Parts: sequence; structure tokens; C-alpha cells
Amino acid sequence: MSSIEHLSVIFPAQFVSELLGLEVIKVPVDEEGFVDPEVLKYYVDRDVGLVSIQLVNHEIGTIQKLRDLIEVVRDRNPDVVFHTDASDAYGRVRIDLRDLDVDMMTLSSHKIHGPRGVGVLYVRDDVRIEPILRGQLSVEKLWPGVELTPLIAGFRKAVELAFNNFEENVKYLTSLRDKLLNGILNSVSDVVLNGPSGDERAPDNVNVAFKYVEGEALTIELSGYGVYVSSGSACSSRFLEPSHVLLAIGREYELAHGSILFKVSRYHKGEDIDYALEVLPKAVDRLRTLSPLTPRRA
Amino acid sequence: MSSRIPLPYSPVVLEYFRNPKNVGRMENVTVQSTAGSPACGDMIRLYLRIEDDLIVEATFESYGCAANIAAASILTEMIKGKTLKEAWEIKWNDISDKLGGLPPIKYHCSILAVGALKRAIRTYYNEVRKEVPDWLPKNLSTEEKQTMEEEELIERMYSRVPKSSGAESGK
Repeated sequence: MSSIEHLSVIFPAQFVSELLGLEVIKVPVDEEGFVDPEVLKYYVDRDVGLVSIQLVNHEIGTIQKLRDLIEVVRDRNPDVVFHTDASDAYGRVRIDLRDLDVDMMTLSSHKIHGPRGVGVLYVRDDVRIEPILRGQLSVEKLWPGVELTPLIAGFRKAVELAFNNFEENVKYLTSLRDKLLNGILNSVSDVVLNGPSGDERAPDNVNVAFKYVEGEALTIELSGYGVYVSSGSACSSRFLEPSHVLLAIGREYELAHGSILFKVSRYHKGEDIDYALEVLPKAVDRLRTLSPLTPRRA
Repeated sequence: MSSRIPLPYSPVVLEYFRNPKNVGRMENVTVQSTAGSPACGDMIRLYLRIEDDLIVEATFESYGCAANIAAASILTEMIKGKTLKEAWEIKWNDISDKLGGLPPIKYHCSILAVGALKRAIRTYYNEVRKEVPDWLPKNLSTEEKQTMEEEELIERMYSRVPKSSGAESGK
């Protein structure tokens, strides 16, 4: 798998590998989060059974060149099962299973404004996997018990809404994203973009590092203004280690600690972006006044 | 960076975070100390003005989460007007208690604050007064040890991380 997969992929893989004595190999990514097919090639041999690479990265928005990656993998080992976590891609990036040669794919309901607690695992017909939960299973079923009908119905509706005006939605998200990103780069100093830009980046993702301030403090400050974001700092997660994604793309610890993720949705309006741009410099400035790292003008 | 549950900060912590007291670098500083590091995501710089073993003025700067800022700020209030010997008695849980209780995952913020204080007091006696009083323990306190451990650990981890510059904005 790539070194920047979502923890919901990394942790189960590590758990199962310990349980079954298998090896989990994390393929490095470049400064923008891309897995290079030429690099991936070296990690795939006859012993590899499963490759999992996300279509879109959940933190820095990198849209992987999945077609090229799959081609390289199949060329090295035709028996490999290729899975992709498309949770952050679905509804934002075109996915066509007729020409994306994946064996399995994961989708998430809440990421497209559907109800929490339901998702999809797409499994191609010729792939055999073991159910992980035991119970009342028939031959076709991978998940036991009675279906969660209300959640599934909600998910279905969310899908309908997301794909109602897909192209326009993506254009709209992209315009909000760029307005926010350019606004930040123009109104706040000492800012670093995490991840790629333009078409190689998910249309709803803005992730920037603010120097001299710490992420969690900034999320609390912004929440006071009614702007809700998340941060890559260690203080918001496990002790000492900031986001593994930011470290994997080579960010120094300080920049990782000062990184903030903004997600825009089709429910946001231009005014929301304006408002965020109005309060963000104030929030950053206040925290920079408190910080010993802020360079002082002599 | 996936959905993080907002931490249950007490109203006191939020108040000190929003309106911290004694912020900033000090002009006629007697001694200053730093605990933590940017790589930790947790750093406190303490400035003290000391006259006749009395802390007459204390200010701070902070790079860290809301708990870190609140702990450092409330510490400066706790030590102003105290003798160095009295200030030395402050423990990390005194700070946590005064803040209305910190979530356990944030205890290290109050430990860091006390670490900075003790470091400042030692530096004062070793380098400014150049004589160490009898009451000052030779052995490091828990807070000092933990602060050093955190700093050393991050140094070791940090040296393994490849550094990059990234795309920067001007202004």
C-alpha cells in the first residue's frame, strides 16, 4: 500500500499481518503524495498478494494515477488483487469501473453527505474473499445479518444527489477550493501548500501549513469564529507524532504541526469562503503574537 | 486528520486560551528558559525578572495547543510575587487543577510549563547568581526529566525524517 493510506486501511493491514505472519510494505510517495509507477514496480513481485492504493488522498487531495499504477502491478504479477479506497474520490473524481481495472473498491456514505455507518465494498465477480464477520451468511453475502435498510436508503439518496449534476458540482467545488486557497496564500504570510495543485488535486481539498503556529490551537481559535477545520498536529492525535501523511511527503515536524485541512462542499456558498478568509488572518495573527517562533521585525 | 473529537476543555482553559495573561518577550529580563521544541509541537518560553529572590515579573511565549497556552499563562500568574523557593514547589498537577482539570492526554502541557519554570530557576542560580542555594535539589524533578525525555525523543525521531522545503507563498 502507499505510505499515505487512511488509517482505516493501514491499521487493519498491520493487525492482519501480525495475525497471519504476512508482510505489509508501504510504498513511498513523492513531495506531492504521488506514487510513482516506476517506484511501485520495484515493490511488486510474485510474493505480493494484495495491493491497496487510494484513488484520492484524504488529507492532501492527491489524485493518484491509478490506471498507470494498476498496469504496472498487473504486468509484474497478474495474480495480484488490486484494491482502492475511493472514499475521498467518490462524487468528486470520475470513476468508471469499465476502464479502471480494480478488483475491489471502497466507498463511504458520509463522505458524500450520506448517513454515517454505511459504505460499499465493491468486489469484482472473479474475486473470492472471506467474510470478516460471521453470522447469518448466504453464499453471496459477505456481511451477515439483516441489512441496514434506512442507512442504505440514505446512502442511495446521497449518491443520487451527488451525481445529479456531477460536472457542475465538480466545477463549483473547484472554484470554491481555488478561491479559498488563493485567498489564503494572498492574505496570510509564511504559508506552505501541502499536496499538489490544480487538476491533480481533489476539487474540495485545501491543506496548508501555517508557520509558527500549532494546528490544534488554530482549530480551536477558528471554531470560535464558526469555522470548523481539522489539523495534522500531534496534539490532535497520538502523542508526539503528527499526521503520517504529512511526514510521508517529507514535511518537517513543525510544518506538519501547523497544518490545517479545509474541506469545501457543494453546500458552501461564496460568502462562506469570504467569511473564512476574513477571520483566518486574524486567527493566525493572534496565535503568532503568542508564539516564540514568529520572527520579530527588528 | 480525519474527524477529531473536540477536546473537552474546561471553561478556565478556554478563557486563558482566548485571553492569555502576561504574553510576550520581556524587556529587562533576568533569566529566560525554553522547554519543548517546535518539532514537538509543544514549546514554552518563560521570561522572569527576579529581584532579591523574588519573581517580580513573569511573561511567556507559547507554540502549542490551547492547553499549552493556558498552562503557560496561568503559571506566570501563579509565580508572580513568589520567591524562587516558593515557586519551585509548584507541581504540574497544581497547574492542571487551577485550570479546572486538563484531559489526561494534555497533562504534558502542564508538565512542560513546570519544566520551563524549574529550568529558569536553575539557570538563574547557576549562571546569574553563580551560587546555588541549599534548598535547590540536585536531582532533577519529574517535570524536568519528562521535559528532557520529550525533547530527546523528538530529536531522535526527527533525525530520521527527510527534510523538504515545499512550495512556499511570498508576502
